[in-house]
Amino acid sequence: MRARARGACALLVCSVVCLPAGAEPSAKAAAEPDAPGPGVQEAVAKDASDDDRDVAEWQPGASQVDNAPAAKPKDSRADQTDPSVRARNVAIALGPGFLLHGSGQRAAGNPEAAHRLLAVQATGLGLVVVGLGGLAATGASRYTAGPLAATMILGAGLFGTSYLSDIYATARPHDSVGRPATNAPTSVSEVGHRYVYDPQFRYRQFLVQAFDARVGRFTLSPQGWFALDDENARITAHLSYRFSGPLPSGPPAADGSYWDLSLGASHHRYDSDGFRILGAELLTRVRRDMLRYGSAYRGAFTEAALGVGLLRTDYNIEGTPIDSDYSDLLLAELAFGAYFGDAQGRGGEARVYYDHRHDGYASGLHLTGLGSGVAGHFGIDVRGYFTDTFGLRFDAQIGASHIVGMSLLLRSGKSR
Amino acid sequence: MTRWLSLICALVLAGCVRPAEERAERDLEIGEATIGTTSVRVSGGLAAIRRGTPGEIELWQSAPAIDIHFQRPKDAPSQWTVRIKNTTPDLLARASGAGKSLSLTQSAGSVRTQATLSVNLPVGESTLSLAPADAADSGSFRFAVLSDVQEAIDDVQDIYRKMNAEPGLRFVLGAGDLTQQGTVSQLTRFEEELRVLELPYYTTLGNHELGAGPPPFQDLYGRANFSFEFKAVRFSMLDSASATIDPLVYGWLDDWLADGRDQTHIVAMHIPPLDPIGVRNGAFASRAEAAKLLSRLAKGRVDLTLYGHIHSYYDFDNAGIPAHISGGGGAIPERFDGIGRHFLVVEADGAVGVKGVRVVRVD
Repeated sequence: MRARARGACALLVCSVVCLPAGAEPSAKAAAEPDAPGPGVQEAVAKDASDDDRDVAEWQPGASQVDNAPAAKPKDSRADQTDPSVRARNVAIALGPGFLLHGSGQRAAGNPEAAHRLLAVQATGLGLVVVGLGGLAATGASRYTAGPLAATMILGAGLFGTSYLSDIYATARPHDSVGRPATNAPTSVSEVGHRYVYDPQFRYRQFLVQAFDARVGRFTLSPQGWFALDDENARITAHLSYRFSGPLPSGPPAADGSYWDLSLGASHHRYDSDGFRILGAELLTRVRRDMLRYGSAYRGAFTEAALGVGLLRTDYNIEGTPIDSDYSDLLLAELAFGAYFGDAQGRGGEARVYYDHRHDGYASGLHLTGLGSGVAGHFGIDVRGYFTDTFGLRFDAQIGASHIVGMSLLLRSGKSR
Repeated sequence: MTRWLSLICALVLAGCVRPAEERAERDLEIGEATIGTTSVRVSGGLAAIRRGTPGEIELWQSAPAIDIHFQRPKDAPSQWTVRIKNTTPDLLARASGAGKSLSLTQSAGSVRTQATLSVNLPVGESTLSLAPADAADSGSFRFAVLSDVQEAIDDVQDIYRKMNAEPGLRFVLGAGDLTQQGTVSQLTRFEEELRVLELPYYTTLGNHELGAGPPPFQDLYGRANFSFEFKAVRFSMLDSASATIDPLVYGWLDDWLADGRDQTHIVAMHIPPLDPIGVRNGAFASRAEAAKLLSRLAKGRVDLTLYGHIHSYYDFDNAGIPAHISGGGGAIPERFDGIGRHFLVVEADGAVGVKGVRVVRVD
């Protein structure tokens, strides 16, 4: 029971932005931020029993998983190789599993995983109730709205993570899961096109250029979206520091997990509409590979980010000087994804995400009922390399606008 | 992957880039009806035609001054009874048709904001003009602002009694969230409570009127987006209940801004473009659209913006325009702000501008 609780907690904290501290309770783990904490190690060791050889082969470099005891193999997923059984289990995960997370894993013969997912679901719902209830009780007070909204988003993120984890673990092919990049590329260049349908603005076609340059633990990421049919462009730059995770040089990381702190600036000009929005933001982002919480989730990852931003809107109205408007911004992002192929070689990753930000092109989601305005936007982001150097990116977002597009990726750095 | 795509597709279906489009299109139908063979049209859609039978019509007025145009064919009845709700107590009605003034009889209703008119319409076009006697005069006047009553409907009489006691108010402007869900029964209850208020209540809708789809608000209370003039001051009411303004409405707004450019111009809507507490974002879904709207309002030299949605009181500037958020109708109040139930009293002058905004506490 205690192990279950620890496993559930490990999965829970994977979405918490202060995860590196929260997930590594021991002094040893604190000194080795990439190493899974005791609870995590236990979960991995337990679940490694179904496929020790495969896990050991997957882990590059020094890894806690290598030390997993060679327990007696017990392949509780054996019947999962039967496509009809798997289809049934996936249907259970999708349908009843929405109400009772872990139903797919329970049907697949993994009751412990099912319990952990249920615990995460309950925790997520609890946080949503706390956040939503707190907002209602305080009338969305100016003093508490930010933390309570963040709590609610985190709760919804945990709910989504446990649901998607169940579907992933139940649906994933037994013998083909992706592997993360354990060294980050030195640089990644991106050039592509986005179609942005926003009925509020004239622009539709965008040229997108981006560049990530990594030196040691630092990454500089300038990006530009340039409208081809309007006087509109958004330029952003982020400087990130990686506390833990894959780096461009040095020994490979244990997995794809990382923890970054990012300082960003943005300049968004809407010249044909007579205003410009300048922004500054501070954001911390965590990714955790789900293998840390059980081999059933091998190849999947979850992400969380939290931060704040400050926007300044300058109005350009001929002959009328107008004071700028200042507004703050809650930044929160939650994602669930999976690697495919070998992310460091030929392969990549796909993720679905929720982004709470209300600036930029996608902004917040419009809903037809009572609750429009508060939610951010959703997206799907797929990056895949067909050689060690070249790749493609597919990007789709839905918020106040619909965005879809592709980019060509070019990377350099260590390859497998 | 296919499951993820299914999830995204579901979200695409749930989300919509023009959630207020249907309401904007519905606005175009408000104030127009064919009753028997007689066509009736209210200029600017400034009244909802609630019901009608040949010879009788009932309206809900959305503005102090309206013109009702009748086109009567030969076979239609000539004697018409016009029952008007939500009108000014000092209503002055005039009728004209066939190139001359028409005689009419005017009787007050059981409620101060109701009136009944009887008029004999000639064949062809005739117009019934309803307005307070001083509607076209310039000069200072005062009105109240009240929004976000919602579940506090049982106690709204306290607010109305306090408004009745305020000297010199001409009408109440509403920035939405009259009800909790916007159902017909809730909207009808709101109207019943209004019988105590001795002033007309001109209002747009809020997000809490969108709980019953399609929202019946417009059938009962008129257009969600409309503009009117009173004593040389222009008022523009916008439907921001879905945290956006529909692109169709931006076209209308441009005309209203042009009309009000040299006037005192007051714009009201439910959800504010910007929330002074940005991390809460009780505001437009898109900061870019917020800036787009505010840029237009500033360019149109709007003098005052009034909002609801946030259950407190905030006084700030947006795009240099004075802004007041007042959600003091009693819905779950924002805690720790020391505000509570309240309404605003605004003093405006067509020549001078907005002379003052005062908070009147109810509790």
